[in-house]
Amino acid sequence: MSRHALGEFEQMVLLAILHLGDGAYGVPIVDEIQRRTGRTVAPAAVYIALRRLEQKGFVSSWMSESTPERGGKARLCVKVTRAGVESLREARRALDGMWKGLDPTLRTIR
Amino acid sequence: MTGTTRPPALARRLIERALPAGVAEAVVGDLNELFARECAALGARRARQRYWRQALSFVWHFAMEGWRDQRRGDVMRIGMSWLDLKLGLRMLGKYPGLSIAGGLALAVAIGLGAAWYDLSGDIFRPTLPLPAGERIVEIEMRDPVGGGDERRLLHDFTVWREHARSFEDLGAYRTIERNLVLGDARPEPMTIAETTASAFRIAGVPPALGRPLADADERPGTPPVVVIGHGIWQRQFGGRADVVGQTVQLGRTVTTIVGVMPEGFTFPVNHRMWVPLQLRPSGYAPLEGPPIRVFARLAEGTTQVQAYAEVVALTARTAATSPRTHEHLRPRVLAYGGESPGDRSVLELAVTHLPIVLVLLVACANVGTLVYARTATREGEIALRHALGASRGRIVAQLFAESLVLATLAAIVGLAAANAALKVGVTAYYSGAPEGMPFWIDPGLKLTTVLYATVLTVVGAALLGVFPALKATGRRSQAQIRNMGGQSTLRFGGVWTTVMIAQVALTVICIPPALGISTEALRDRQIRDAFPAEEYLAVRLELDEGAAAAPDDTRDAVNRRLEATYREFERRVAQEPAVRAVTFADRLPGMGVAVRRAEVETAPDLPPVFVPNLWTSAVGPGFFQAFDVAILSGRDFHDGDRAAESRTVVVNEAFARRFFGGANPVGRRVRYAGGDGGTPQPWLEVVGMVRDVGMTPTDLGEAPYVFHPASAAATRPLVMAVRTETDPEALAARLRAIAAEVDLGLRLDDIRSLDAIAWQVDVPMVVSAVAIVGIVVLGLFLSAAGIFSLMSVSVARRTREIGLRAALGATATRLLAGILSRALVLTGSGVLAGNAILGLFIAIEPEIALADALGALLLTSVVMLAVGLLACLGPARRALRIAPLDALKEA
Repeated sequence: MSRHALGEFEQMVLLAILHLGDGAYGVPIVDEIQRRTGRTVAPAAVYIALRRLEQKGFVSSWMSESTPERGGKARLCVKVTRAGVESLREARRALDGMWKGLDPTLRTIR
Repeated sequence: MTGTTRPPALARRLIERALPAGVAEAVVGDLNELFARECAALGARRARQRYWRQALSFVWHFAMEGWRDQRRGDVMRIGMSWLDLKLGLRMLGKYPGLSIAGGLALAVAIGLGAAWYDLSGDIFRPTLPLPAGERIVEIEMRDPVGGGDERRLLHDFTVWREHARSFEDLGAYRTIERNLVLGDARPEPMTIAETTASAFRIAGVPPALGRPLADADERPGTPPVVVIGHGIWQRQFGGRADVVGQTVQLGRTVTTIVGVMPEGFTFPVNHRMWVPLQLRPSGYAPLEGPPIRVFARLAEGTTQVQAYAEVVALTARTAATSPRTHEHLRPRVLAYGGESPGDRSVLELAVTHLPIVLVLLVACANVGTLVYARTATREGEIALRHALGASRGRIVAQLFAESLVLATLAAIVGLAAANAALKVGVTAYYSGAPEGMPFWIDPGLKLTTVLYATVLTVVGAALLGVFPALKATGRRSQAQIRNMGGQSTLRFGGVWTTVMIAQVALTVICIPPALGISTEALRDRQIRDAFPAEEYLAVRLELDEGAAAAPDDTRDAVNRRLEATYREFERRVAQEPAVRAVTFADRLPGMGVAVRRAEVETAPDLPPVFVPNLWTSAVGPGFFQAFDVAILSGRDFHDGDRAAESRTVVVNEAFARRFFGGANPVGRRVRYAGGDGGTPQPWLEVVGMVRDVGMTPTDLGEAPYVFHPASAAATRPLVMAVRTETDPEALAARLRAIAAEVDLGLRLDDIRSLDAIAWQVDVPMVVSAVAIVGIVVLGLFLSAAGIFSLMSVSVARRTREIGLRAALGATATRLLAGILSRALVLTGSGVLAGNAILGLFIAIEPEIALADALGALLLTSVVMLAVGLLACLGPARRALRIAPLDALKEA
């Protein structure tokens, strides 16, 4: 198991980056999570999550070219590293393990 | 992006300061992107709100993250930690009395201080949003003998423009009003700057389209031209690019548009249309011509003081050749829009900063007693921490952090309240100004003010927290605590006791005026509410200068034409279906004060009574019927009374009550004082007495009024009152249409229901009543809190003594007397001091009746003593619960 466990929100951020592919950055990540989960997400929370993920080595970031529609400001682009993907797999395995065999039990609980 | 669709710059700067550089750039970019999207979907206002919310969210999240990092690394870079701040927050909950009283006092102090700092900046030297705006000045002429400003300065302006070397350029303007008529559209009254072309050079802002006014436009006889503002261009012309060269009608004059100024440009004050001020090439005699305002741009390297010296010299030359007009006149060169006469003086700095420091010191002294008392009850805890190895600096830092939390929360509340109050107050202040709000005024707190208040908050927190902490952790205190087995050693010395006595005295002084003002405000509102002001629409009527007459008309002919225009307008309005009555006056009931010095003949064989402020109103035909005012005695005015030689007046019941003890005043006489104490004017005979309207409440129920018969042509200002059966505001559009049909030069200004006008007149009174009652309640609360603190500390110090006395058989009454005596002495001293000052006021103010004075003194004493006793309840109960055995064991 990885030295750093992933929180639920961190998993969502990593998965959103993977869905977006190259050039993922703040605004589309927020949109992607909101679109797929229906939850309202604060952009600041995404940035904090990205900061922590980068400290853990699960994402890498770089500044893109500045664009006029952003008031001449650059984007902070991110991509998931190999360690990040591995960490996501671990998280999924752990969750799947916990879910396994629960379906009949859940059916009996109203 | 235009000004309104641009993201808030302050929020952007906040992010750039609070977040690491690379992240800040990306965050600002993201927020800009979201802003553009939300502008299109939700509108600019909501998009700006959301931008602010997101910006604050980022600052908060990153600040929290920073603290978490610090805690994870177990690195305490400063003596004060996040834990101290959290503890400070908990302390607020643990001592709710202190939190509310202290927080409120600090909030009021910080709010008042910030508002004053903000306003004093605008009063002395406002920041002009113009290129090199600090070099723009205004030149005024004071008349110390007449006691006002002399504005008939066309002669002086031409002299200064020709000879002064201190200025790069000089300009002059006056504000005029005209109806703007576009095609078949309804005329719209516009406030226009009639200005020299130099205004555009001095402001240094080029036009967005066409050209500004040119010097050639100032020559009389040149074709009329106008420069329009961005708002008019967008609203009236749909932002069309071919607007330059089109003609519009200003009143009765067809005028060509020569230029459009960019958005936000409203120089000289809040103007959106500019026409040339045409000056006679032959010049003007001293004090000839209309009133104007003169402004200038200082030459490069010239100071305001140097320019002032030159203007003084030039004015002295004029005074030498024309002593009759200029002997007493004194010029002033002021920062544009402000009162600063030049280099920042000590006085200017003192006026800006001293009140803030004083208010903060008073609040800190108040709150200091509370914090001191709280520190006293925690001495044991402080000693324990000291014994376990906490340094003195660490403990002081912790107590400072607690004060900082309290002061910060108070600052947030105080600044938010000051911001809201400034927005409402400044907007209301300028709502009645003919030129509107000046372009350099931005209602609400400025960023510099917020930063200034932040510094003051930290200083205040340091004063509050550090002083008691140093005292509690001093070597002497610690030694005493060890000797006394953890009992409190802090005591309220002479300074704190004096502060509390002074505070009680101040509160005592404020109680009578607070009660007086609030009961008066309530009474006035009740009296006004009885009158159906919501059925009346008030309209100020103006005819364009010169538009009503040919140049060779006599004054009588002009007046006849004005009268005829008004009559026709009144006739047309009266024919409207919902209109019940139409009349006019120079001011309608409830519209504010117009007073004159007068003499009233109360009896034929007695000398007349001098009255410094008799309320007067010039009224038109049908005035009393329109306002349902019954004639109680004598008669109403008839047409003969409106002749120039007529000397008749009608008075109201309040007049009869004040001067005739309620007897019939018909047949008695009134006359006005002459100017400068000269010969009085001729006597006027009272021919009728009417019932009080009930819109000008005073102690007499209504102000004593003298009504004069007036014709429309001779009445200035001319205010029409229309009584309707429907919503009066709904009639406004119809009135404008009728006015345009009667005469394009007839302008309708300030159309509002009488109810709204009366409320605006009442607002200062209501605000002052609420403010003074608030101050008294806060004062009472703080006095109570101070006495409570004193008693708490006293009981904590005397636990063992009280226990021993109880063990030795002292009764509860004796114990209570011992405990309460100090509080009573303190409150009594404050009450005595306050009443002595009140007594002094009463003695020098002959209008206050003895019974009222004694009532006020008794009331303040009872209220204050009751508050003092209430404050003692908690500590007294605590003292009575001290178990003798426990106290003996401790001993």
